Amino acid sequence: MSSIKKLQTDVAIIGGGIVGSSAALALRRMGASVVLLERDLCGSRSSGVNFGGVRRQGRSLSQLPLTQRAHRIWGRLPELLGTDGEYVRSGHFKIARSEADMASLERYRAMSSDFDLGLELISATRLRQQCPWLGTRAVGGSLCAEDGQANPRLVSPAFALAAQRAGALVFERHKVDEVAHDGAMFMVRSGNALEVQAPVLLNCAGAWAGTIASQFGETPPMYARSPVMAVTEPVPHFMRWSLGVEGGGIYCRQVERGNLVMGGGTGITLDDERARAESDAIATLAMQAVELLPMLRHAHIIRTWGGTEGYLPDREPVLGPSLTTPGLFHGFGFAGAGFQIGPAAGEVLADLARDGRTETPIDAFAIERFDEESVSPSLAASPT
Amino acid sequence: MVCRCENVTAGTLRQTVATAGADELNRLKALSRVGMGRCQGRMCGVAAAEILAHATQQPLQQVGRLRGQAPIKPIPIRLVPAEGADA
Repeated sequence: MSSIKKLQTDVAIIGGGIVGSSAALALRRMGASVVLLERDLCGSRSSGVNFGGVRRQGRSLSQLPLTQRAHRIWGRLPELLGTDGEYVRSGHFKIARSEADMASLERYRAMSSDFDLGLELISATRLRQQCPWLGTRAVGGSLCAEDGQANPRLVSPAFALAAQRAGALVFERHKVDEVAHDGAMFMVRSGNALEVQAPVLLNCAGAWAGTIASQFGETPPMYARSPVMAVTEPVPHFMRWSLGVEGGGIYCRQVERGNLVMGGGTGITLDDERARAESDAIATLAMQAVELLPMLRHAHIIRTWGGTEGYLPDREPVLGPSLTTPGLFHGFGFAGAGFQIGPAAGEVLADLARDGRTETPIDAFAIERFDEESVSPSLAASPT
Repeated sequence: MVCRCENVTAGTLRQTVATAGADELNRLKALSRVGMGRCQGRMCGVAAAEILAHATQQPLQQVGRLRGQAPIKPIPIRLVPAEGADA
């Protein structure tokens, strides 16, 4: 190889998932120069292989301002990306399987009423009439008519492509081997191919973001988990809503082509790079699917998969400034629910990179919530 | 017609390479649906790889191969729990 390529930029971004790519796009629209490094292909990990739910309903109250901001971005997707990524506001229906579930859905509607999600509770009688295809365990549920679904394998790479078209320098297959901060500038190096210098660094490395954070003496208690996903062959269209179940478990949607995409449970993380859906989890998922949608008993499953996603113990992301290093901002740990809010998280990171602040409330996602254990001052003084 | 399950033509594949810059087979699959149907690429995978290699002017071995994903052949969903219990 010839000598290492050196670049200077306003903002360096590690991670080309939906968060990092949308941050890159937002920064380009603000006029900042951006270099993005992605270890694999942009949008090929959790951002590209997730369920594809674009859902606000059911999120914690602290995520609602962020999710509303994201909702507005999703509404402009064709204008931003040049493709709709199969995004449709098809409705998201959360099923109650007991009176207690129904009461819980009612409480959520009351709690979230300030945010105008437009939730509508549907009784058992109406559900039978409207959705004869639904299994008998459903006793009602809550509909968010403006929530929906999209195709993650199209949307997430499209954010990266749009950022690139807007002038961001995107380097795929460039794993970050070294990051450092000299008090003023960050240095990000990928092998002997690329070295980037920037006053601002965004850590959007998903399940791998903990490694980056630890270089700066921050060790949030993150762990990796792999949701289990499966898809059936195409079947005639019968369901517009994306379905979830109160209390968790299976989630399911029917794509435009007719296939049923479903997820739930936990797969196996083979190693740092790979995850698999595992047979017991697929078996449980299949049983739940037939219970939820009895007509599926004749359908064939054609493919299963998993993805690797970062989780924090409270299942809230880390989004905001580093505690140890000025100019470093984190956006990771979306706990399997980052697809809808990803574009808003990206915009928030762009706000932070430009102004050091954002109008969207993000205090609940501060890294300092893991207090003493997350910061090790000795390491903070000497990032590698 | 390259992918008969998902009706993906050679022209669509070449267009996807040109517009989205796909240079690897799994990325081409993600963007075009080639190999995403009932046969999971067993019929079309090799042809798609050849077209991708030609369109990107890479040697065939450079474009990769479709990731193997269970089940090996389509399995009725009602039989999955029994299979899972055996495994």
